[in-house]
Amino acid sequence: MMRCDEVRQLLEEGTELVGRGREHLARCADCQAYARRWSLIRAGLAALAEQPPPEPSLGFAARLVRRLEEAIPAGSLREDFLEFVGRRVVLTGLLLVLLSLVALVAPPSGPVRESQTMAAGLGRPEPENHSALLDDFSAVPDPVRSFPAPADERQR
Amino acid sequence: MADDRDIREVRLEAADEEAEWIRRTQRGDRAAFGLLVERYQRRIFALVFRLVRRRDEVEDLAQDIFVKAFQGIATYSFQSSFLAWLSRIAVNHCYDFLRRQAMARVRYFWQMTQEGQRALEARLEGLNVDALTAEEKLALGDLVDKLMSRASAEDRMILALKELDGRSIEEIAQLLSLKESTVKVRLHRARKRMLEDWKRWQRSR
Repeated sequence: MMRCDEVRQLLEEGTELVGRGREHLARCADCQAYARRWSLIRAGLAALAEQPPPEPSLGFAARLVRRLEEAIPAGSLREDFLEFVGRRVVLTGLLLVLLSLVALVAPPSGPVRESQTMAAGLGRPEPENHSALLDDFSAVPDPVRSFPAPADERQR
Repeated sequence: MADDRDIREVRLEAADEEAEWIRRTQRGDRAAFGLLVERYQRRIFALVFRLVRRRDEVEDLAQDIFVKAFQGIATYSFQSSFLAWLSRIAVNHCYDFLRRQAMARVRYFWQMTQEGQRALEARLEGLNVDALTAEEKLALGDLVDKLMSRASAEDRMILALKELDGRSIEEIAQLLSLKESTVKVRLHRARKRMLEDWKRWQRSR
């Protein structure tokens, strides 16, 4: 035996009841009332669906375009579009910069990299004489020497 | 065969033309948007009318919908048809409108209890649904119109899309961003509630 809810759902969908569904409807007064009401509602809905919708008034599109010209200044839509695209480009760029910074700042976690070892002076070959050493130091900028001494001090 | 090919070619040309209008609109060309409005204005008017059932409001609502479409056209990415995208904007806009209208529902309730509505109910007794006269159809349409106006915005939207606009369950699911099974359940509940409301109204007289 079908349940009332199942029979009613079939009635709503407009499915023709057969077998157990028809048997249920023949015995159930509540479902018969439901079927009667729903058929009236359906006829009412069909009557509403037949009503022709209103037509756009003459010049609707032209008026709308004029309204857009007045309300939304020219170029703002283009700006919106560029902003929409540009925002994505900027965000991607920022993300890349951030990732690069993290890669530079983060300490190396694997074996000591050769370039850093060289920069720290470790593993550097021993210079053969002093001049070579001086030459080597001359490459390092001296912050004191880089400023010229005051003129009176130079005279003394 | 040749006719079929011609129809296909015409459709393809129309689709290309439309894509070009959309791209021009995305670059800020209002005249191109005007062409899109002319192509779809009747469809949107019909949809809005079936959803809100207020002739006096249709043009204003349609205008707002097209303005929203113009403002948001940068987000249209050609994933669905332009009409489907536009219809979604229309459905959301009408839903908001109906929700605002729901605040004034008490007014409709008092209209329902008037003498004229009692007479209508009396006429429905013993009506043969298979052989309705034009006048009887009008009376039934009036009754359903009143019941629809008393329904919640959610029930009304789903009923109007299915029963008045003739949309399939799949289309409604896409328009409302719901699962098809959810649409079926909501539709059943909306119909049930409408019938219960009618019964309640009969008892209250």
